Amino acid sequence: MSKSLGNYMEIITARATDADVRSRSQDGGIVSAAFIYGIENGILDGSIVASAPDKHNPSPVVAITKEDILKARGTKYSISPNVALLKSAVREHGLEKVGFVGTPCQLVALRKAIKYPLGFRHVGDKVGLIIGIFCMENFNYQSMKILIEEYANVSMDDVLKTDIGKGKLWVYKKDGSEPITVPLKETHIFEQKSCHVCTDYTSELADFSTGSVGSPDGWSTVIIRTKRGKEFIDKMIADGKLETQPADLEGKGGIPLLEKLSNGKKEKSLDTIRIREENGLPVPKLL
Amino acid sequence: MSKIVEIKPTTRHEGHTNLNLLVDDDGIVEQGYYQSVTPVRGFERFLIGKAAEFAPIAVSRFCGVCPTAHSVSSVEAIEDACNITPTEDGLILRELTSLGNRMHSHPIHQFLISSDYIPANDMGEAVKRIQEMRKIGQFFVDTIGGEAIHPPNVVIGGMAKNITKEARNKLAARAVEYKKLAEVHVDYMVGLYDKGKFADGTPIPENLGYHDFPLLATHPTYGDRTQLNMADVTETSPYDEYPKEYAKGACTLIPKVKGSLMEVGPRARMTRFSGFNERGMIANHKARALEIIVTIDRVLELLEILNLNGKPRSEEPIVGDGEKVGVGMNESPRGHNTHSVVIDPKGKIKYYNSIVATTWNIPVIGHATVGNHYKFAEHVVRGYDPCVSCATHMIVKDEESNVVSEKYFR
Repeated sequence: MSKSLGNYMEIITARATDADVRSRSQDGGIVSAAFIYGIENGILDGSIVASAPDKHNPSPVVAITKEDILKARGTKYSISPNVALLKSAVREHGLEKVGFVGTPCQLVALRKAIKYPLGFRHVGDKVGLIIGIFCMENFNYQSMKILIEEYANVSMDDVLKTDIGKGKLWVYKKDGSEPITVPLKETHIFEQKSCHVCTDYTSELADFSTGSVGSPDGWSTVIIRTKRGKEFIDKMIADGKLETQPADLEGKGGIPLLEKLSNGKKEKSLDTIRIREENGLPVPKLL
Repeated sequence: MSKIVEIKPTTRHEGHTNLNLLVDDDGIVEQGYYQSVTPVRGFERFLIGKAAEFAPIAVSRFCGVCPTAHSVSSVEAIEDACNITPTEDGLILRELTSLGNRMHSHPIHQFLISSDYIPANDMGEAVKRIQEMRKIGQFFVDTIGGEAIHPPNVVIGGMAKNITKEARNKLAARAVEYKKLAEVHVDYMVGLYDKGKFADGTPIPENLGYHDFPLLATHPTYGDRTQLNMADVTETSPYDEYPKEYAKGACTLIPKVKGSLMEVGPRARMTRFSGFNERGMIANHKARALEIIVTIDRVLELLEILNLNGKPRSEEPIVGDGEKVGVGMNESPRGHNTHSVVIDPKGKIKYYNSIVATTWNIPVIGHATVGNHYKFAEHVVRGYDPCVSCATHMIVKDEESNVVSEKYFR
């Protein structure tokens, strides 16, 4: 239990053992590995993932095979409305155990939809696993395009992947040359305004949440929150799909950093919420 | 000297109805008047002036028991009025949605009558089978129709979405499972019906529910507007059919074909298309049970021929000429169901009328109670599985003072 990270049962540092999954994944490949494991072992019959043939303008797709999931590896620093596809996934796709991955705000929407199923009849009970990702803020596609093309001076066609870390936006090029960085203080104005009233950094409503912060490069921090999440991760570890190491609970780059960032987002957003309330502007009602 | 027996309300069916019986000294029914007293909602009026696309969504809300029958009849009627040809795969998907509803609706009626026929020690098993069958039926409507109740995918021109291969495979597997359950269940139910007595041992009179009215059915599983000429159909006031004191409270019109009342429903369909030839109340139950097998066989056939890459919906414009009365017919679980509509050149509804399954059966039910003891009358009602809220059609005026019956406004 920790106020800054929400309710949880356990925190571990992990990465996928499958090198194929890890390559091109953002960090430890946890989400891809979990969905592949779920599908191959019948725990899930499909999942909703953000697919991005054009890496920076993702849209949700229903993945039902390992290949589908591998195609969607990696973080997309732009919005993919995954909740929008959920109903379709359980209707015309006929899925009954859907894996869902989303940002904290999407999980708020999803949990609300499960709890108050207005227009969501027979949907919530068909969600088999909810994975949350760490999310400080998000950019819409046009903002991302400006940041990459104008600020980093890289053509969208040449971008391999983007990342946010160490106070910078990193733009990796396909030709393998040195990544180009943009300081985060320059990217702030491009953030979605709604992110500034969000107090959830670590996807506190997920079965388990994952992200790079708090773990060494190439590894992911996994915050296990529910019994379902715990069972799932335990099975993956037992079957050798994840390798783990104890989470760094003391070090500067470990869980304390995660807590610091999470607290930072909470404080900043609560401030914004207070100011908005004082000015009579709408603020989100969380669960 | 006849007495009056009033059963108010009748139970174990959808909606609110009264059964008024004139009986002789031995309790034998001489005249039966069955009337809907479900309050009028006014769908046919408030649809006027609305966009045509709204009709299937709205009329689906006639009732939550067979919403599919109404949305399908509605889109069929609008397509007829606007000369739209729905796509082949859209029609297959639509029929599957209808049949999914029937796969759930027929078993639920057997649940409603379970205490009349099923011995207490078999009850658990039978109800479990019924619920499993219903679950599969609802899964069909959920997956293909978009929602198990009020399916939104039933749209003018076909269906809003086709399904994926995985969904089809899942549906096919469930259909096979359903057929296995249904074979056991139908055998069991027909066995009970053939015993000639109720669960409490009361013998069932052989002629219970006999009447001489003809049967009306247009298609074994879907609906066919070429099979009934609407020019032959008239709707008369309950005042023409019932004594005034009962007509006053009735909320339905009395539809007739060439001047005759008609029975609709599973027995009508099974008699016309599957060689069934029994009559009476038990025959109604039996036909309904046997029709479950006809339904699931058709479902398996449709899943086989459905093209998953086929276009589910025609894109023809939804505009009418403001004159042509489009007719849509669907064989709903409770029988033949007709919607008629006129669409104007702007795509708005100019006229809407529906004659639904139970509307046909309501006057017939009264007649069918005649000739037997009044204690059996409720069983006759249940034989028709009346679903009354959709049948509700009009507010009856007091003809002398020319005011709308006040009791609906209290």
